[in-house]
Amino acid sequence: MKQNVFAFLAGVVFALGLGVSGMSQPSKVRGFLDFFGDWDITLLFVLGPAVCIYLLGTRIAAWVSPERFRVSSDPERMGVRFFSGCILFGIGWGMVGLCPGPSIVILGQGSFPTVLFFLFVLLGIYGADRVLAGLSGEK
Amino acid sequence: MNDYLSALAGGVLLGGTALFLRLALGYPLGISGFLSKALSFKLTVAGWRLSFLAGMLLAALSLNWIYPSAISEPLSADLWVLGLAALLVGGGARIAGGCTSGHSLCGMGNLDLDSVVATVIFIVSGAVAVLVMGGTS
Repeated sequence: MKQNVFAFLAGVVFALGLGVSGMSQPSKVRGFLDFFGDWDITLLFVLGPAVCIYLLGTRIAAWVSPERFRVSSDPERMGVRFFSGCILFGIGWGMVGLCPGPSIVILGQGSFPTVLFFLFVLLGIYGADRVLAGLSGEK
Repeated sequence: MNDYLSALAGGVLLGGTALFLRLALGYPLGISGFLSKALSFKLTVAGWRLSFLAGMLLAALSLNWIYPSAISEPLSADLWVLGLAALLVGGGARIAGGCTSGHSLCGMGNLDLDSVVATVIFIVSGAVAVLVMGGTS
């Protein structure tokens, strides 16, 4: 129960963050990606502090209380699969300017295109999961 | 609000939430992974991630009242462009092992090399897509 309350509150604040930051305004995201043209660097001010806070916070927690908080990682194997996934994701991100988190947040406007976009994100996730499970011989 | 200030405020909220989730629940925050687990349609698999997604949805709806300009931009691209881009974003994230939250925020914040590489590729291929589609202006 406590987990669910924490997760719910985290979801609320995370979505507000995606709204306030400008990550849910497709033109802003595409402006950030337009560094061959009219480059808008604003979103660097989102990523920079976010990564720093996470980095410092997790390291401090691990230093203060090593028995409770351990810094661990589970990196992806950087092979063909990984690189093609990154490229496909980037192309989709640049085409419209929305990544998965903001595709949820922008649902708030309640328009047909945002619902369509979100449903196709889900379809992409579901389809890729099925294919990956098939490739690794599960199920 | 000034664009840079709101970006900064958003970044603090995003980083703070990811840190909170990592410390309180012990997991990194990754939206595409959460959605994938939700799509297993098994409560035991999805667990608290459903609560997280419900919180996001509630905040998304309330942004209409508290900060409508954050989410009011219409998606003006052709429907086939929207559908294709969404498939690529959803599928690509799973194949890459994470999206902007899992790789670019938590992974880079964990100093994972694969996440730094993923983020660079996300941005470069996104830039190529914007360029091929004729830029933003």
